[in-house]
Amino acid sequence: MAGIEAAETVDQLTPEMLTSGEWDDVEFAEYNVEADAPEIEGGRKHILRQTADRAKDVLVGMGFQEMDGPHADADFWINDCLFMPQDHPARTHWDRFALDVPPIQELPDQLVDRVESAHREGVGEDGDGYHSPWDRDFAEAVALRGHTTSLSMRYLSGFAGADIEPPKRYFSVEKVYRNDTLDPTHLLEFFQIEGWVLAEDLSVRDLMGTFEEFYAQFGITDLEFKPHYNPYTEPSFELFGEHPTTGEIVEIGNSGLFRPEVLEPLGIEADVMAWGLALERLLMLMYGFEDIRDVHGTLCDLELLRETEVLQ
Amino acid sequence: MPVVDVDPDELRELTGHDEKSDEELKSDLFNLGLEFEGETDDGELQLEFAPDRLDRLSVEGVARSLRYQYGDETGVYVPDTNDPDWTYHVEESVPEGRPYVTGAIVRDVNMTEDVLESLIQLQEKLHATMGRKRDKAAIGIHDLTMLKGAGVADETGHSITYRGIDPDGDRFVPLDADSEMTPADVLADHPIGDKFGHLLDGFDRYPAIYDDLGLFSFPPVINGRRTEVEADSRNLLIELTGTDQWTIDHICNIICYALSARGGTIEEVEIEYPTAIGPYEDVGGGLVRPDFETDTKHVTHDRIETILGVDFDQREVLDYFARAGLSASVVSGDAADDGAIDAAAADTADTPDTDDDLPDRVADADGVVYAVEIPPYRVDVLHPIDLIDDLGRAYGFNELDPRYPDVGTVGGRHERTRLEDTVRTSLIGLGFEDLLNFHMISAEANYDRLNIDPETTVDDADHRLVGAGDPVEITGPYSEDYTQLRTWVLPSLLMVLENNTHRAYPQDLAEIGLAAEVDDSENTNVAERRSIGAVLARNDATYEDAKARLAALCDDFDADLETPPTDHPTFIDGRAADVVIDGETVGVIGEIHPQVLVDHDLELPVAAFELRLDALQ
Repeated sequence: MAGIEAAETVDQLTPEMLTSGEWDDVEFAEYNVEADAPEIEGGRKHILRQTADRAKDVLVGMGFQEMDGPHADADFWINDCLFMPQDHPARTHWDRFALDVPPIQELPDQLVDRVESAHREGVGEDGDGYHSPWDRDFAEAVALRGHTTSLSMRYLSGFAGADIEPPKRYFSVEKVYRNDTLDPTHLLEFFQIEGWVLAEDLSVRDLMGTFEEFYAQFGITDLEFKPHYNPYTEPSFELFGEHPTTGEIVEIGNSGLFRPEVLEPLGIEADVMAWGLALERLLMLMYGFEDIRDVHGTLCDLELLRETEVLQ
Repeated sequence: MPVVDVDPDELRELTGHDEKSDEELKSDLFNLGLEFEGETDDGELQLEFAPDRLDRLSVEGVARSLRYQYGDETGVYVPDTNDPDWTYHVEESVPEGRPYVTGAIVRDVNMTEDVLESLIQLQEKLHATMGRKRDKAAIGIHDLTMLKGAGVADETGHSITYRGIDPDGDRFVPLDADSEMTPADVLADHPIGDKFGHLLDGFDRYPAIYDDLGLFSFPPVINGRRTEVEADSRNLLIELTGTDQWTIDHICNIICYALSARGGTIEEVEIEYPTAIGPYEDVGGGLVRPDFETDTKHVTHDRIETILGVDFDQREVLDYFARAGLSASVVSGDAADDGAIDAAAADTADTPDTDDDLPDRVADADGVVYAVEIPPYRVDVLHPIDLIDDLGRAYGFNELDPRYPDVGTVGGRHERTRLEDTVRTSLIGLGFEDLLNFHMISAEANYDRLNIDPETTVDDADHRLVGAGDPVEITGPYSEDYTQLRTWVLPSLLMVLENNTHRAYPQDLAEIGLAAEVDDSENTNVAERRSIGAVLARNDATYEDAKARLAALCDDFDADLETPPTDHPTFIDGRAADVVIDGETVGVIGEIHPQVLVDHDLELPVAAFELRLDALQ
């Protein structure tokens, strides 16, 4: 330090210097302003949550109201209302998380009767039912919902307390549970984007137009509609879109107009179009992640969550 | 979804389109909803499709659909049938759990190795889908020339008999075996018995089918070797047993149509049930099968236009229906519309189209109504809407112009998620990294590793330990890591800390997520709530650090926070407190107990809190 007058060069500006006026007599030591600073993380929203919020923003902007309802629900709301026959493979032990709790305490009896009749006899004069068993005990059994369409059924039936005079748009971005094998692209619980529109005289073209608008918000254009089969919608479509970066054609959703066997028991006279999409798939499309387990769940990698660019 | 293996050369032959390349076929198939998934080792196309059109589970059905798509065939086709010679006699001894039978005789099939392979595939795929893994329907196909059956009632004709027998009541040589076995032996010692034996759990008599030479079929498990179909078998006897007559009849139709495409002539059989009551009340005591009677449903022109959003004239509608393999005729409406009806009536002369046959509602309906005849191999048409879908597919859904529906609604968020979002924003502002974990967990991770017992109460039954509670358990879980819903969030956050000890500290993590427990005051018997969990993992983490952040959070929501001391085995004695907001105990805060830290391989202190989200409402 020889030859340098300490009084004239200081490291740190202090409150005392400011109050005494000493700051005017000193020189501040130069910093290496290019040197690295210690790393800090700071709080941030989980990237899957950011993606969910983005989807919610888009849907609210398109005039959709959010639904809420139970994760553990009667098979009646999860499957029977959706005209899923009770011997459908998706309702077996292999796909479904049955819960070890007593059956649901209350279901709307008249609706149960109408749903049972739709399963057994069909609806309308030319309608046919399924040739499958139907048992109220199964309908009352409680399981983790395999899709959030259980919420749509609760809302459309009026059981959730919402006004269902057309026109209406509703959505949810909530968790669903599937008894699948855990692997890089499949989780036992994941988020489903669910949406439906209730209006008079809806057509397949309205459904296509709505999805084009929704997916365009995420940079996914040139949708393809592949005719598909679901027990609860007709016509039904799988949606395919081009990956914004890789150009690959990937399945991005499942959609359709609810069948009369779904709507008539609920007392809905207008048309309802609906669709579902796994939020994780949208996330993987947007970020190019290869293993969803790095992101969602207790095996997550904090560094990946910290380093991933925030969603704009 | 079902996958069917199709030889492209056979497809070209059966469609009569030798000129089609594999690529063209794939594209034509995609338009039918059959997606190319890959090739087998033998170069067959593996086609995946949704499980509605089960008549496409073999190359014959796929070819038929393509011929309709190409316009080579139009309208409903029903093969001719010959009068019955064989009777399927059903005895009263038949097991209650499998009372129904159906079938057909098919003669002069142009059998080859390929045809046999296709037939076996069709049988397997029908078992897997409509047959519900043979529970609902089991198919047996036999070489007719190996069967010997004199008529039962009189001396003319032939018969087989379906009865119930004692599990050890008779012997036969099953397929893939060299010696005689009883049905019980098959279940015990034969590989197929192992796979399907459970279908007979609880049966005291086993289903068995006999001809004059003895037992030749043991449904739903295995056929006998004597009647095995070979590549040179030309005459076949088909039998199906099951739990539902409609289901087995329609599977039988699909098989008959496939064999008819291979040159086979269909011959009816008589089914003779022992009575017309009990399980046979709805079907009657005697049936003639296969049942190729067509179904007819009515659909309005108006509904077609509304659903597809396209204007059609009647001629187009009739044409698209015909290309979908259906036969439509106009049965009511403005006949002078465009003169298309005459042409239509000529095309579909087989369809009943006189007003006398119509229900009143159709005759009275406004506008044009079509009667649409549906072939007997279709199992997916439950309602007229299904016919509109068929018409849309024939028209080409991708031809439609999307339009945004001109319907005004007001959007908005649910108040529950609004609260959750606001609290999350505050937590992030306080420096927490927001996390998202599974709601399913193991009992060990939820309770044991947090040092708590689910049944612990603190001082009285109403003041239960945070995290304790009656778990919502999954019935028969496959994975020991996911056996119940979590009762609180902290166990998930500690697992994240455990899995990230190689990442930089501090690790200040928070999650707002579902927690649940059994509660018989809820309609579903499950109480679901959102819980806020937060951990501060850093070298100098203290109770004070956690409390400072909790206090700041409560302050944001104008909630009055108190932290009276409490005992909680997850935390260090003397460094744990109840979280009391506006006078109510809603959570817990403290320094995590060293035992819990060590159990999670953590080598630094962790301060934490957990409270109900709705306490901040």
